[in-house]
Order: sequence, then structure tokens, then C-alpha cells
Amino acid sequence: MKPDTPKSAAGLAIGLGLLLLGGIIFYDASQMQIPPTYAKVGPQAFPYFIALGLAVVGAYFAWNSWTPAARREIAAEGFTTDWRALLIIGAGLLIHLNILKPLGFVIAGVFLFMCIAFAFGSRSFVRDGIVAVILVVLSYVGFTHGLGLQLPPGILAGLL
Amino acid sequence: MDVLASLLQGFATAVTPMNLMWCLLGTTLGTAIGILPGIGPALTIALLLPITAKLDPTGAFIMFAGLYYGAMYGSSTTSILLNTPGESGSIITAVEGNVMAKNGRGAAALATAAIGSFVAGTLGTIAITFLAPLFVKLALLFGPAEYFALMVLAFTTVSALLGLSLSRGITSLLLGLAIGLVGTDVLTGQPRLTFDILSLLRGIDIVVVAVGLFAVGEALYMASRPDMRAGEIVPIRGSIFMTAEEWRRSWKPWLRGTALGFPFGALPAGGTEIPTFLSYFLEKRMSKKPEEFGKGAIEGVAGPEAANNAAVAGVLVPLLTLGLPTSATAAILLAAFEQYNLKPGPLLFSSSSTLVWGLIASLYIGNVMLLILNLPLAGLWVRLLAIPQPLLYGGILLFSTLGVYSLNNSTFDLVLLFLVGILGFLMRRYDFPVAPCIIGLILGRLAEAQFRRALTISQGDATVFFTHPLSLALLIIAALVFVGPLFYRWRAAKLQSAKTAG
Amino acid sequence: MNRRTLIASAVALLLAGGLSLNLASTPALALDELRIIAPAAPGGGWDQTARAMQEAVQSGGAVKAVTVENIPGAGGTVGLAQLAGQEQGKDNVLMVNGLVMVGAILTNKSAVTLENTTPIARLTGEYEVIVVPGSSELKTLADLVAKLKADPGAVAWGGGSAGGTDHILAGLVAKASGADVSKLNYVPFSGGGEALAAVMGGHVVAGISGYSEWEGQIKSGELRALGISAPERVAGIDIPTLKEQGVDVELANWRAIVAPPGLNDEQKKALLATVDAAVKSDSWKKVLAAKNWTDLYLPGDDFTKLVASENARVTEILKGIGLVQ
Repeated sequence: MKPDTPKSAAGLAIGLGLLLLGGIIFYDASQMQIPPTYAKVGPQAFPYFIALGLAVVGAYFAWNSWTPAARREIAAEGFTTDWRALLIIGAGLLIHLNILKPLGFVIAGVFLFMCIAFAFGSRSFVRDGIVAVILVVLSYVGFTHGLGLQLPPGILAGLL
Repeated sequence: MDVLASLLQGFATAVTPMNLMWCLLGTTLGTAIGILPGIGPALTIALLLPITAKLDPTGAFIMFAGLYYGAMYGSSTTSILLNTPGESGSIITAVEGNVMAKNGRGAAALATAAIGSFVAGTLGTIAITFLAPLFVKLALLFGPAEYFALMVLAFTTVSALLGLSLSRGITSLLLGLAIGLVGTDVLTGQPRLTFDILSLLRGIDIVVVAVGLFAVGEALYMASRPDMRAGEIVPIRGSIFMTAEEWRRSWKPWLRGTALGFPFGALPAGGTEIPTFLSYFLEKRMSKKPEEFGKGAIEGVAGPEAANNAAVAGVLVPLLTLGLPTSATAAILLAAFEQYNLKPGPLLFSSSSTLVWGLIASLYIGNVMLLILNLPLAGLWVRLLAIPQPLLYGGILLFSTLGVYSLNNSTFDLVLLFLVGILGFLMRRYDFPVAPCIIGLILGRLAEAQFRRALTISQGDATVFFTHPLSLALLIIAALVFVGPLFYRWRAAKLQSAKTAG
Repeated sequence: MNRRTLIASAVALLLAGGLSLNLASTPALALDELRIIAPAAPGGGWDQTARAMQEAVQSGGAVKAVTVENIPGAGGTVGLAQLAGQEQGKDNVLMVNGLVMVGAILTNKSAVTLENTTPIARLTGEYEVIVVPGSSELKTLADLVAKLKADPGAVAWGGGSAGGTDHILAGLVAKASGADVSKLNYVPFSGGGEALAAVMGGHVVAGISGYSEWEGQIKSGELRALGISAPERVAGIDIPTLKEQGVDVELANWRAIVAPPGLNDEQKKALLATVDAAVKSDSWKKVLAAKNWTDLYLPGDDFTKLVASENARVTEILKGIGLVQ
């Protein structure tokens, strides 16, 4: 069995993050208005329990990140991280959800597809574009006309 | 026998060319929507309802039933190949199935899933035909106290999925429980962790979390690891079909999965997910090589896939015999019955026997169709893995966002998907298993609601869990499952020390 | 570097384009198209009402394209917020709502209320039944009332979501029969199936639901209906009303249609005329018959008044139960 310890800095961050989450859940539960109930166990009991659990594991990870053993086994090291690709995908997803309604599913979908393909290293823009348009138009037509599911038409309303 | 005569009559109804066509249409469409994450049979049938209002009811129901079964077949495909479960009942399939696919055994995983689904679907249909009244009685025995005991039992199965590190597995489980808290409390209507955001009141959908953790998390992780991207995936290593060894390891899990799934489907609050957890746990426990679990053990695909299909068959039992919907899809089917002015229930079998028996007969036919449809496709589907990564992940994210958006027609769900995706990425990066998180999400909500319901009915008397015989029995089983391995380990250690001492 | 600026500018262009185009696409001519918002998932009562209305409007041919948009969540208050927000002032949007939304606004402490809509008309409704398992020792409503008065906690009611129609009826019945409303022992179940199973299995003492949902089980004798919440006996339903058994409660789980706020009288009249024509169409009448919906058409100001009185009644009972402070 490998020791339960990520890289110290990451471990500390994970531990503190879990503690914070536990704190938020605890606070939220403490602010609840509790209607009378026969159960004696109200809507706040379960959150308190989970908050306690998160606090315990959070403290464990935070504590462990300071022990020397933590430095031996490192979870996220020994490989390079392509932060640029991550950022492109993240930005792509965020832009996609913002343009989905105004510009419509077709344009947003093509944009997302090409953005992801680009992040994964593709530079064949023509190929990606053609694949994207085919996939997106087919699913748009299939869903709106086949199933009557409303996908946002956006500025291409009336065209498809 | 009366049943056999009626069934034969049903086959006569089902094999008319028109009804065969409806069955084919339903199974094909079902497979397609099963593949798409977020778009499930409930939504599809609901959207098809107005269109089918003018059809003959027998044809419409044959199509709906095919669609329901087909969705379960289809959802295993993307779970196995792309680590993107199409339906929540296939989440566990991704755990072993995707590893198998990465090892070049994707076709075998798809085949065991398809054959397992066929076995389960057919055995389930046989059970509907002959044992329906028995399971209906069982379903009504379960009240909130019994359900809670069942959830406790289901929770112990998490131990099979915690991975190598206990603290990481438990953290993942707790995160799932925490996500499950978000939304309106079922019992008191109080908002929890909603931060005054209206859209959070409806809670975070399981689909959003499953797609976020698996599909988006996986895409982000792969993008961040150029070293892993460089390694080429070989779609098929060894035989394209299942080897003799794989057959030998699959058939028992198929049967055990069926035995677990069917009764769960028949329970009013059973669902398709929990039997898949139980099946995975059982297979790992029964395996002679439990260490292979997590590294692509075929039993971990065969069992859960049989379980979810058997559960679908089980759902039809209370629906047809009592008019009792036990899943979202069943509730929509009930609305469909109403559309034709039919009342499911004890009277349905006598008042519309052509429809009921035609439907049951079409389930047998639909299962055969699905097997014929899916088995040869397995060889074709695995070629998906040969698609260049940029296009593959572009497609996965395109369909993931489409599916999640169409859940509620809300871009807010896409924001949630993005956030859960980041969580999934971080969990992968720091070696936290994602499966316990999903289990926590699904079981936590149910367990809490049933626990509090039971206590409400008993007016706060906590002994209900022990005075109801069924609840007590389930709790004892749960305790044995939990304590059993500890006891074995303790005894093994004692024997070991005795040996070294001697 | 070069590539990066290219992407950045492309993104900026896309964003800017999105914004300007969004502003340019103002709604088309009135009633060239009509959108009906169903503030629930496909398949439920509100969705079915919206789709039936869609068909009825389309059958008249007055409107070219009618679409249904589902915005589920939080008892319809998510859809309500959108109607009062981004749809404000649009005269080609309608939304289905009903009694459930009145309760949901209160329990969710929604900032937007039905005051932020333009009421058009009540369309249909359904009465609620109170049932016990077929094998229960409670034979009549009087038996149930007696048990309720003796010890409200001993009567565990099974029904739909907290603060919903079923819960409200349980509260009204307790109040009318002189039991302590604050001691009501109501157990909300998610989904009709679960509540039904709990009643049939005898896990709760009594159950409440819309009549049509449990009609089959009542007819087959697995459930015994003790009373229906209609003002008088309903044709074709052999169940005594609550009123005739001395419990002075009537409640219809009504469904209605409303428009966004900020419309002038003319726009309101036009929408009302469209709905009026649809309700009088053959298509609508057929749906009512097929789905067994009770016609409770009530247009205009009368409907506005009804919403106010229902709101007062629901607020009082939910406060009594303790769900709303």
C-alpha cells in the first residue's frame, strides 16, 4: 500500500479546501429554519454529519502534507502538465455556454468542437470544421425536427 | 397453461410487420439516445408522446418498450469506449469497461455487455411473464424503514470501489454526499446549499455530475497530459470476439446481475443504479482474482450490465400490474397509458390483453433485435477509438454539453458541468477515485430521505429499523458484509502468526 | 505569439458579434409566433397542458408557429423568474402555472411572485382524493377525522412534495375537522409511484393525490377513497365529497395560463382572445375528454381574484403547518 500523501503543497491545498467546504456546509446548515417535524432528525442533521466528515479528511490531508513522508510519494509530479491546453478547453467551455443562446446551438457547437480539437493539438482547421459542421447540423436537425426538442436556434433561426 | 396461451396470442400480435417495424424503430432509437449522455428514455418518450397520440396504442407501446431496453444497451457503449456513461445505470460499467478498452479488449467488453443485457433482458421478461404477482407483493413490503436498511447495505458496497487509498476514497464519497445536499430538502422543502440561486433549488442532476466527472474531467485530464496523449490506443488486441476465458468469466456474473437487478427494478424506489453497485461489489468479492478489479476485470462489466437491464425489466412489473411507476421512464409510460385512456393495474390484463401480451411478446423480440444490432456493431464501435484524439474529444464534449443543456434547457447546468468537470480533473490529477463520489450522490439523497421518512411515520421512534423484520434482516446482512472481511483478515493474520510462532 | 493574438481576437470578435446580434434580434411581429413556457419537465401535468394548448392554438390557424419551452425546477419558480425577467413586456409569450406554484413561491421564498405576471385565464383542474389502503380499519372519512382529532401524529399522510397540493389539502382537512394543524404528520414522497406504494403497502395511514393518478387502484379496490375535494359530486366518480361528510374543504388543483408582466391592455386582450379561441376549439375539447381534465375555464379579472384568494388561503395553511414562517 502506498502512503496516503500527495505532494505537500497540493496536499495542503486539498486539505484546506476540504476544511473550507466542510465549514461552508456547517454554516449553511446552522442558518436553516427548521419546521416542526416528527422525525426529530431535521434537514440540518445530515449536512452536519457530512461537514464533520469533510473536516476530518481535510485535517488529515493538511496534517499529512507537513510530514516528511509526504515528500516521498508525489501524486502530481513526474510528468509535464500542458496548462495551455487546459486553459483553451476551459475558455472554450465558458465561451460556449455564453454564446449558446444568443448565437444558437449550431454556431456555439462548431466553435466548441474546433476549440477542443485545437487544444488537443489539431491544426487541420478545414477537416475539423467540416466534421464539426456535419456533426452539429445533423444533431440539431435530428433533435429539433425528429424529437421536438428545443435547441436554441440563435441567429440562424429559420435557416435550419 | 393460461399464461402460455396468452403469450402465444401476444406473439401473434407482435410479429405483424407493422409492430415489428415499431419494435425495430424503438430499439434503434433507444440505442442512439442511450449513447448520448443526458438524453435518456424518459425525456425521449415524453417528447414522442404528442407525436404518437394518433398511433395505435399497441404499436406505440412496443416502440416505447424497445426504446427503454435499447437505451440501456446503448449507454454501455460510451461508458466502455469513451469513459462517458450515457445513463446513470452504466456508470459502474465505465470503471472496468474503459480500462478493458484501453487494453485493447473493448470489443470483448462491449460483447459481454450486449450478451449480458440480452440474458438479463430475456430472463427478466420471463420473470414478468410468470412471476409478476410474486414480485408485486415483495415491492409493497418495502416501506421507508426497509428502504433505509437497503441503502445501508448498498453503502457497504462502496468499499469495493474505494481504490487503493482509504482516505481518498472516503473523501470522494463525502464530496458526492455534499453535492447531493444541494437543492430543496424533500421532507421540509427547505433550501440547502443553494446560496439564493434559484436554479440550484432543483438540485444538481446526477447526469450533470456523471458527465462532468467522467467526460469533461477525462477530457481536461487527457489534454493536460501530453505524455498520455502520445501513447496510441490499439483498438483490438488479440481476438475481436470474447475468448473462451472471457466467456467462462462472464456467464455467472450475467446470472447474478440479473438476480440482483430484477427485484430492484420492481421496488418502487429501487432504480437501475443501486443493483449495478451491488453487482460490482458481489463480483469483486466472489472473484478469485479480486486484484484484477480496477485493471479491467470482465466480471465488472458483465455483472452490472446484466443488472441494469434486468432492473429495466423489473420496472415493468409494478407498472403493468399495479399501475405503479417506479422510475422516471415508468412515470412517462404511465402518462402514455393515460393518453390512450388505459389504466394500468390489475384490470389492464383483462381489459386490454392484446396490448399487454403483445407488449410482453415484443420485449422478447426486442431483446433479440438488440443483440443482433449490438453484437456485430461491437467490432465497429471499437474503431471509435481509432478516431484522432482531437476529433474524438471534440465530439465527446459537444454531445456532453448538448445532453446536459437539454436536461433543463438551461445554460446554468452548463456552468455546473464546467465546475464539476474541474473537480473531476483535480480528482484524476491527485489520484482520487471518482466512482465513490457518484455513489455518494445517488445513495446519500435516498438514504437520508428514507431515514427521515421512516422516523416521521414512527413519530421519532428509532427502533422501527429493528422491529420491522425485513429492515432488521437487511441491516444484519449489511453488518456481515462489513464485518466479514475484517474478521477474515483478523483470522488470516492470526493463522499467519500462529504459523510463524509454530 | 502570433497565433495567440489571432485566437484572442477571434474570440473577442465572436463575443462582440454575439452581443450585437443578440440585441438586433428583437421579437418578431406579434403572434407571428407564440412561445408557451412549461415550467416543468416534459411529461408532467403542466407540460401536457402546454402541449395541448399548443395544439389548440395551432388548430385555429391564428398563429403561425407555436412552440413549447420546458424550464423545470423548484415548483415552477425557475420558469416564473424567467417570465418576469427576460420575457418582461413580450406579448408573444405565455406560461402555464397552477396551484402548486402558489405553494412553491411561498416555500421557496421566491422573490418573484404571481403578482409579477399578467394573469390570462384558469384552464383546467383536478380534484384530490383522500384514500386509505383497502384493508384499513378506517371505513369512512368520519373514522379518519376521529383518529386525527384524537392524535394528529398517529395519522401519517403520504403524498407529493412538501408544500404541494396534497400537503395543502391535508392541512385544510386537519384544520376544518378541528385538529391541531401544527401537529400534522405529513410524509412527502418524491414521485406519485412511491407515495402510492407506501399507501398500498400500508406504510402510511392515509394518502392524498389527484383523482386520476390513483383512479385504477381505487376502482380495483386496492385503495378505498374516503372523499373527494370537489364542491359537489363529480359525474362518473362514485366518491362522496368532503363537504357532504361535514369537512368543509374544497380544493381544485387548478392549472392556468399567464403572460409576462408589463403588457398594456391591448396586448393583454389580444392574448386573452387567442387563448379564448383555443379553449373553444374542438382540439382542446378532445384533449379534455381524453385526459379526463375538468374544464375550469375562468378568464380575465375573475381569475385574478381567484389567484389572490388562493394565495391567502395557501399562505395561512402553510404557516399553520410551519413550512412558511
